[in-house]
Amino acid sequence: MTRTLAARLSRGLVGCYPRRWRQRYADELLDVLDQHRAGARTVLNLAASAVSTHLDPAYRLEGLAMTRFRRGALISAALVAPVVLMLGVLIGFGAWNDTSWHPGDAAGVTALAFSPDRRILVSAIGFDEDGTDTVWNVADPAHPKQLAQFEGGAPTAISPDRRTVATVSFHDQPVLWNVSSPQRPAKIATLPGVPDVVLWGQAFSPDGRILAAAYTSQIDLWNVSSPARPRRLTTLAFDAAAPPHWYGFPGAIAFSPDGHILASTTSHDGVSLWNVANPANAVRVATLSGHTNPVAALAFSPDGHLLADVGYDGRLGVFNLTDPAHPSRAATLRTISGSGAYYNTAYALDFSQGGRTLTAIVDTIPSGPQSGTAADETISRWSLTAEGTVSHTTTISHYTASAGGPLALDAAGRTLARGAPPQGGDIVYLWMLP
Amino acid sequence: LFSGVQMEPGTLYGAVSRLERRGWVRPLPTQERRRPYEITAAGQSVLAEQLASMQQIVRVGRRRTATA
Repeated sequence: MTRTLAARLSRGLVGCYPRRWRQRYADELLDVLDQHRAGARTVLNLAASAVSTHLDPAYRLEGLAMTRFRRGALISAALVAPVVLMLGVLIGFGAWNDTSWHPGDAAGVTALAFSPDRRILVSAIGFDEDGTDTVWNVADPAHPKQLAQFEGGAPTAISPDRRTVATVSFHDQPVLWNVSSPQRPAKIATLPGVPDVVLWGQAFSPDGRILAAAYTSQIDLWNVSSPARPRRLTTLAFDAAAPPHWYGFPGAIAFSPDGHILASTTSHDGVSLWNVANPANAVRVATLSGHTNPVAALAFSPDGHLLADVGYDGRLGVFNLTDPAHPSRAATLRTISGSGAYYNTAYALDFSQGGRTLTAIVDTIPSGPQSGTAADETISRWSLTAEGTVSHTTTISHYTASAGGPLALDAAGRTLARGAPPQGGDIVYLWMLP
Repeated sequence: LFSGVQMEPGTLYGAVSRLERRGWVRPLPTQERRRPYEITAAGQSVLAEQLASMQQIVRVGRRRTATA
């Protein structure tokens, strides 16, 4: 279509708009067309707009300028017909039959958490309120029993007494659930969140009295000793110079076994340690670094003297926290060869045997998180001295199907829970480790 | 026209007429063949609401495209 023809057709089509519309806008629209390089798109667009304006109830009731409208309708029909025909073909051949979509299926299992005594496992599919949380009794991992189910979603945490589960609302507020009566899980409280930031992680203190809610901007500490009446204790601000946590990268947050230290991943490829012995006056005591990618998982040894962190760079650090203000690096280990990656690697990390054994699980999925459900799984075990140095290493690598979702290790380092990947549905696989 | 977004005149004026009818924009006096419009107080509040809801969509989308 030549420019002059397009321009002439365009100006003609302005006359096809409803009369009342033209009285108000025709001059303006013609001026705009004069300053516009008209093409076939312009003509098609004007024809469609004129037709839709006629169908607009605000203009439909007036008498139509019939002759002009007929001409416009004819041009429109000629232009619109091929599109309609194509849609018909697409629908006819079933290109658009994707009607069985469910949010939970798409996200897969999004979070897994063992209770500290490893008897209870909480799994989440989907995020926030359009997800579902399931509480399992896994005391006998070979015969898991479903205890409760409620609309919670990830991220999630379970209190040490196994009575309270923390999930997240659609508006990124922490939500507390009473799961002590498995048949009737009940929402206890929704805590105020922080406007416009993501709540990415939560953790209960070992005595169950404090909930740490980790946002992209800060960590809020709540006194939840009476879950129905939570009280905010303090806010721990992340370092403004180094943005706290990047969207989309699952982080980790954990209290030390004595509840005095809170450790949280940050986006500057490290871990921040806060002294929360007196929560109302919590202070940052140290920052652990040494990774070239963000930290994926962290774990305290049972006596709290050691902290291990594993980064998306595949490197693992063991720190001696005997003096938390001056942590010293006890060991640097590799979980996988190569540099690791963000999107196609899942990590789990835990101490067992009284802190003398460190277990790391790494699932490396060959090509992106959505495309595959098979992974190379590496189970690495290190024997540690009390100071955190390594005396012995065992590595088992094997191929595993249905990977790509989150991982969780129980405190004994014996049971591995693996969630179904995106599109994988509501399935949790339990594995007994050698 | 709109922060670098190319828009066909038919689409533009379809939008302008709907925005004006809802009282979200109002025309200002013409200046040399150009008709400026300004956003009204009602338009401001609706826009703020829309932006907040888009932000929510972005945040949920970012989470869903992330692996856990």
